[in-house]
Amino acid sequence: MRERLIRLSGWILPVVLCWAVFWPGIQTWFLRDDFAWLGLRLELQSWADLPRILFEPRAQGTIRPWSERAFFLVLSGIYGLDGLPFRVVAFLTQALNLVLLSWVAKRLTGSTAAGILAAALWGINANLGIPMSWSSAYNQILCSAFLLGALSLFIRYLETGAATLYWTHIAVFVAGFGALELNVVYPALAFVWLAAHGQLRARWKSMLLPALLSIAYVLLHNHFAPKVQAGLYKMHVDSSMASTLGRYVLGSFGGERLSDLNLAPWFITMGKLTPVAALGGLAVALAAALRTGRRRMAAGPAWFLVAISPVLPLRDHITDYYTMIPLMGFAMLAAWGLTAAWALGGLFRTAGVAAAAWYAATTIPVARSVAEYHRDQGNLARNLVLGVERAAQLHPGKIILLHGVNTDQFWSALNDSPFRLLGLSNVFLTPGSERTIQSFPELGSVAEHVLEAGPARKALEAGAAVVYDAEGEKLRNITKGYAQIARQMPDELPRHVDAGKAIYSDQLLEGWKPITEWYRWSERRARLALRGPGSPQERLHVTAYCPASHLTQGPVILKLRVNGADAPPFRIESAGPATAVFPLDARLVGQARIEITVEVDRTVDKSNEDASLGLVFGTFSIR
Amino acid sequence: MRRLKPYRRWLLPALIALALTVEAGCRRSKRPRVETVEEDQGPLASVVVFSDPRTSMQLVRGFYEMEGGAWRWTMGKFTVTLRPPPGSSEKGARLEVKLAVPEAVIAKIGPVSLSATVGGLALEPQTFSAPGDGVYARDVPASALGGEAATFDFALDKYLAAGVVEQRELGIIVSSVGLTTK
Repeated sequence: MRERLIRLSGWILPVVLCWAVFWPGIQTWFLRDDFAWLGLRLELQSWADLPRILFEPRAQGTIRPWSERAFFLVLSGIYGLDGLPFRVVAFLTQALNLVLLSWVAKRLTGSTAAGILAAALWGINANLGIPMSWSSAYNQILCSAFLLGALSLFIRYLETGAATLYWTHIAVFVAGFGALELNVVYPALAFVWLAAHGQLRARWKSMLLPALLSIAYVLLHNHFAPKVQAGLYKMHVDSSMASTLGRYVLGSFGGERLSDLNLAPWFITMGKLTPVAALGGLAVALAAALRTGRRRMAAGPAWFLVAISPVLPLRDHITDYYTMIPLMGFAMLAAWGLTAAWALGGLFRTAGVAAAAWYAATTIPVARSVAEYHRDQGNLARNLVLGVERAAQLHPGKIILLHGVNTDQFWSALNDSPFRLLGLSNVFLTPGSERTIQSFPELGSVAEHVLEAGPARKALEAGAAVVYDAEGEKLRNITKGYAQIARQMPDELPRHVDAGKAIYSDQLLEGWKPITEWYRWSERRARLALRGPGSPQERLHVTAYCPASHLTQGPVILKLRVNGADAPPFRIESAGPATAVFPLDARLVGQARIEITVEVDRTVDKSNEDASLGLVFGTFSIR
Repeated sequence: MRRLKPYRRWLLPALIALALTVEAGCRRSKRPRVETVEEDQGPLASVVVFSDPRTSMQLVRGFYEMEGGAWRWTMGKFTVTLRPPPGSSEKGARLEVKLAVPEAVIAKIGPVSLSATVGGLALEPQTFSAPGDGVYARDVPASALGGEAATFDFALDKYLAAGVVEQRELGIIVSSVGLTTK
């Protein structure tokens, strides 16, 4: 019994350490992309919608049905906007990962202590900070579980020869594709395992099926998911991959980011030296392993290289948490090295303990600060979003304007339109907010969330809006004072129209259907008014949604006329959201009012629907 | 060949735990309400001291979040709305901006001039050549202060563009803007 308890506590130790380091992460509310995923619930009108919601490529063409779609859909369906269950599931999945890694590392190193140590070293690494404190990064944790689960089952199959284990391992591996694309590396990891154990020649056939499945997945994924042609997620298969690999290797230990914290200079210097020291330690461990005939320990660095390889072409999107799965390889080699040093005793033991202490002392503060940062950002987001919900209860039917929203608040909480989750469509930032909130065009547009001076002034004069200051911990009603300020603002036509919001109805001149939820259908031809551009560089950005039924006769052609002059037509070739950008004539600059006509070449071809429906429109924005 | 462990013995407890968790979730009371502050803030202030959050709405645009509980960085252009003090519509008033020009700004772009307009009337600019605290003070004629509020648009002739020192566009540091009776 006592022996069993000791063994059990060995398995639990890495879990306790990991949870203790990242505990603030369990308190994180929702942030950034979380709000977009939480919105999936609004798309689920019937069971027929489920396959599309689960498997449609989204967000840079990713298809992650379990770790993003089902995760948010199921938990938000049961718990609503309660963040805790999401974090509990993440922490429990990570506990499973730590137990599985202990087991795998024990098999690789032949030592229970090394297995537990590998899980502990991995479990406290600062690069796990984001997955351990942000629900949208759960895909890393769940993918780890599928990879480790499949590998564990494969190892057991190698040990027992049980066919059930082989086929279960195949099932787990295939399911892993629903967590993260990185799952594609599993066959390579298994090959590494076989090679490390000298079983490659005898057992390579058992990896043939997983390898074919990975190839099939890549082909299918490339076929169905749109290729990213530009921006942060564009793939660069060139010499930059070497420098990207270097950055990932040097950024694997956390200590190098101590300079972001307010700590003693000597400690920060120690942190900066951590990558060199850690890589030196790993090199010594590998050399010792090879010299003592333990060639299998080369599987550690090989694991890192294999698991990091899919993200190396993402030159412009280097992200700490992409090393979460690769780091298991370094952790296994380090754990073996440390236990070997301990066994040698004397100076080796002292050096090993010092190295482990150095790593822990430098990575834990960074790990903790990442988790605390996310918890604090989550609190800000919660106070803002639920504060607006309260304001809407106190002032039903009124437009809510938020004043003093800063860059952090906007990108953490507002960019992904959290208020639609609460059934609120009329929440805006006060005029001018877009100037002080830092712009990240690749993430979204601040201007689309701002109510311009003209309509803001009108709404306040009509008593149809309330204004809240968002600077403090709680939203503060400043309507009376702000109304006085708004009276000083110019009564101008906005440069932006959201067709799905009633506040802009005055600018929609003719050819528009009533608002349906968050959008509005046009007729075949529709007109609207905007203020002219502020500079010749500004363009007209139009967002629309094209239903699949609209494309049965080929692409839909969207034509646009501005003050009577034709713009180049825009072809809509695929169903779903579409964004068109039209150049504007320099003569329109500074005009108080311009008229825009949008026209599609045909109306929806469905006998049971309104035959005059043109296209679903979202926003028209000059910027 | 070794026998497989009876994994199934864990299945029932796991399913029960899952069912209890879901059931607890369904019973969980509604999420805690986040209250708002609904106090009546009264009229606009004639003097906006940045450490007082009740007047922050009068910083209409061009100001970043408060730092050190007392001051804010501005952009190259910034706007403040003030209540004209009693009697100013007859006698005019004195505009005072308490500011600081950081050494980093002077070092990068040299002396900076601050100017202001109110109701279409331009107030004379003032140049700040040395780093440190300063005051931009100008008389505002009564003709510009007739209404319930006066909006002052400030502009710097030079400022640090976004990306030069920080990702933000940076102008000067301001701690208060006010109108006082002459």
